[in-house]
Amino acid sequence: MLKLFGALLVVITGGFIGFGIAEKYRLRPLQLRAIQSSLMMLQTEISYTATPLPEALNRVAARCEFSAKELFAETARGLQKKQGLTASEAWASTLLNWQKKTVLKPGELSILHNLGEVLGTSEREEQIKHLLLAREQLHEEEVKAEKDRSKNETMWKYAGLLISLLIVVIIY
Amino acid sequence: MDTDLIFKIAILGIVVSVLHTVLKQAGKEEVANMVTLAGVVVVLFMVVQLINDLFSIVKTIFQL
Repeated sequence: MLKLFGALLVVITGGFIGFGIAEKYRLRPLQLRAIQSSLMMLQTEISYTATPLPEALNRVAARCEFSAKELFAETARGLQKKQGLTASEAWASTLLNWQKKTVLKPGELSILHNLGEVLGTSEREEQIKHLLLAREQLHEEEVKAEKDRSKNETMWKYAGLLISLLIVVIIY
Repeated sequence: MDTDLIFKIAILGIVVSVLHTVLKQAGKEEVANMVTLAGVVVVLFMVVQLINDLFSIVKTIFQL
């Protein structure tokens, strides 16, 4: 009886680990897409309506998807506190907190970091160029992430369960 | 003679073959082959004792 319980425990744990890894692969392209669309919104805010940056960030945060929301809302809050932070400092410090909650890789975070350095410091045309550049780079990463996902997601879903089943059968 | 071992090997075979298919579909054929090989080795370790018994019986029958 105890043996059966242990075997069940091993299988469930293995399954969860496999699903966890598969979930990471599934979320990466989704989050990259969400960030891209939110950057697009920010670009519109800057180019057509010329909204002040904190307000523009807040508006973007209100409309964009789950994972990118916090990044913009938090940066806007940092700016609205009026503690003498520049936009790039607020962006960088938010990014540091935010990266723990995402499955993005360091390369993609550095793209966002580079974008933050010009945010709110240069003229409008310059910022739009940088936003475009960041979006293009993120799009490349998204294509790569999508390829990774199609390769690895189903594999890990099954592999976790099957490997734990193998372990159980071998040591049972 | 216990039939447990036979069932164990059968389950092992099924699981390994499914794993092989999944890995092959994911484009990791080297890993798939490795898994199959590892499965074969594990089963071999399981039956090595029985093969040993068989040989000793053959030996005693022919008084070698």
